[in-house]
Amino acid sequence: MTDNPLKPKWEICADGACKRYGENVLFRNLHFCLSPGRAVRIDGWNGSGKTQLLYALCGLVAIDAGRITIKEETTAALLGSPYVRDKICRFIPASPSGLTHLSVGEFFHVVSRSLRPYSLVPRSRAAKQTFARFRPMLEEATGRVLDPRMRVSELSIGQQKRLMLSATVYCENPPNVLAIDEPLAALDAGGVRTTIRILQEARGRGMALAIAEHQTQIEAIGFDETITMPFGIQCKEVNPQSEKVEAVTPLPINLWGGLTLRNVDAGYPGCRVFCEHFELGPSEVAHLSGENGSGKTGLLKALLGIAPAALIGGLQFGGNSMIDLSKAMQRAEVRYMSQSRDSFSSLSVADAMRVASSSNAACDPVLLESIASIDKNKRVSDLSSGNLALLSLAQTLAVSPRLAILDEPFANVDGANVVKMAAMIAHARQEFGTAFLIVEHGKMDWTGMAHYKVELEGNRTRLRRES
Amino acid sequence: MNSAWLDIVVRTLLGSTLVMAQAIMLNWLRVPFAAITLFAGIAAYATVAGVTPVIVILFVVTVGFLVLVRPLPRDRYLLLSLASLALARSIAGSLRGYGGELGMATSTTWIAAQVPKSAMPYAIALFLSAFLVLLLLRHSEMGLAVDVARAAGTEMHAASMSPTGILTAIMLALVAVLASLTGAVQGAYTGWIDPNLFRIDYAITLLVATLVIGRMPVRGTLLAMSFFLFPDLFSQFFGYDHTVSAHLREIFWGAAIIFLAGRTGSPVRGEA
Repeated sequence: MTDNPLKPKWEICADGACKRYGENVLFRNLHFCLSPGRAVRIDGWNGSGKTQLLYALCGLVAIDAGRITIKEETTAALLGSPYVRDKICRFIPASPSGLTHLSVGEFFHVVSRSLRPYSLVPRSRAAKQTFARFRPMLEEATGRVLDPRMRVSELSIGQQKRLMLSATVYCENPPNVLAIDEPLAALDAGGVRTTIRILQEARGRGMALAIAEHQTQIEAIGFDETITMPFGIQCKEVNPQSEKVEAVTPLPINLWGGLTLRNVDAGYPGCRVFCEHFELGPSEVAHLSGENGSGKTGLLKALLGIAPAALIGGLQFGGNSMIDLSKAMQRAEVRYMSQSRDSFSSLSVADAMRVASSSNAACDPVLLESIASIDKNKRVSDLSSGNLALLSLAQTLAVSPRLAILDEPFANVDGANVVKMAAMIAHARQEFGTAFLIVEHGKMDWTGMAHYKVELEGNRTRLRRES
Repeated sequence: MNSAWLDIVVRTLLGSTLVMAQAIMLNWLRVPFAAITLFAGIAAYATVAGVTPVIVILFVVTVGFLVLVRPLPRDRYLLLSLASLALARSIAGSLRGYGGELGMATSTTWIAAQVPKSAMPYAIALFLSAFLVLLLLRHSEMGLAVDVARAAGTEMHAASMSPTGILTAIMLALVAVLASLTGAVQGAYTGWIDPNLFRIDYAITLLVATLVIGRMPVRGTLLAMSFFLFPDLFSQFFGYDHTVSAHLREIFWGAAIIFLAGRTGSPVRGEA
């Protein structure tokens, strides 16, 4: 008997896969196959189970009915352990948090799977040797010079994502399938181009791709099939670009005095941003953009007094000079929505909102209405990343802060939720006079919005007003 | 060196070994395991009950703790480990053949009771073994895999990058062996076993020391040693009552934990 030359070397197939969350069906009766070079896009609203499907492909969660089978030339058995299955199918998360305490060399060593078989050789030497071989490719992918001893946490989220993807694709023994969650979220324009190039290269090397992504730029990959998740939250079809957000009349500056920065040098050690002059009044919105790793998040954390980021220079908030905004945070005048959005993760959604409002007063009905589509009895840690973003914004605004600082609020968020979040921001500006400082890579356009850009000028990174 | 000082050294080495063993589970794998004294206590009973039945019991206990790592939430696992001590204490107290609540004297051919010199080689060997394990975890490729396995508790994708189950089993087995051998030496050296070996407050004391030492092998080992040395040194130099010194030690370490936990990058928050 001879082998059929048209038969692929390996195949991962979902046959009637079904997954429930409590009483809700996330997906049911799904059928699709991944074979060498095939690319499948998984589309659907936030909370529709896209990430769960990727987890199931990689054996990280069990499905409730149906089968996900791996048919390989050499391995016919269903690979039960996620660790063993990772050889075939690798899950790449939206953010590689949890491994960021490793050094870049160790991270690459782990991700590139050269860790096996585990030995007692010095980890730093092993990591350095593995890293050295792939350094140029990794540096090109992340767009910066990498030292194998630096911590992954020193990289921006965008750089961490690109490091993990490139390490997986370029290593000596890459997996057959990449199951990737939101690869373009929180990436700058250059990062998006690089990521798409790496993904196309992966496909060219015979890897199959299963990608969950909201951004339309991902279509550049040229998918063979799109799987639309049928369930989840039923939302009306909206186009965030065409949706009109209510115009906001800026409130007078004397309402709370605004935020002023003069000759401020802020950020992480080794990645600081200089700002000559920055002003933000009540109800105003400042949009900060810049490349991944330019120091935007460091600047925000320095403003908030979150170590190791630090701020030197003149900061005035509400007419008072301050070292940073930590005191104002304690008084609930300032609120921060971080990229990790991990606050109150062990509570139910209802309790998390109660705690976030931090008073006996009932939470603002408009905010509650905005999160009405989320199951209030669900644990925060069980929410999809898009719904988590929606909830985090509601939590941020629940105390009617004077200033809300949002770091990549729209990453991983679908169109319907973007519109809801935009409405929440407009409401807070109008009703509470809340000013917004927003770091976001996507295009944003709000009434009375000022655009600032963090970029390298000479040998100094500066925050400069664009318009 | 006189016998009193040798006694201090032996007890310090054995206590530090238990703390370092517990640190492997708690600080390295982030498994909320607080029952290191359960293994040590059961093994101490081997000095009178015989080796074979005790090995069987230890094996069952180890497998039980291993099986429950994944299904139980962290807080329940911690409670389980403490509750198992209370259970063991009650069972030991009910065993009339082993002295019941009062306990009984032990006698072994390999260590003479209360003779530090006879216990010293065993104490040193166990201490160095625990220290070597910590060094390997910190600096070897295997330790890197354990690092990733620790992250798998909170990050699902990390579970696919390290054989979490196998590593947990290896580490728990290693910890069980270290703790059991230490307990057997302690039982033989003190020359007495009683249900107080399973006291929860003793387990809490070791838990405090474990949290403080973090994941730094050298610094952690020195901290663990100083934890056990302090009351004896205090008594020797200042003539205080030994029990009072132990309380002072608790006060000192309690304050140290509050201080360390409040600092960013402390062994407690940054390392454990």
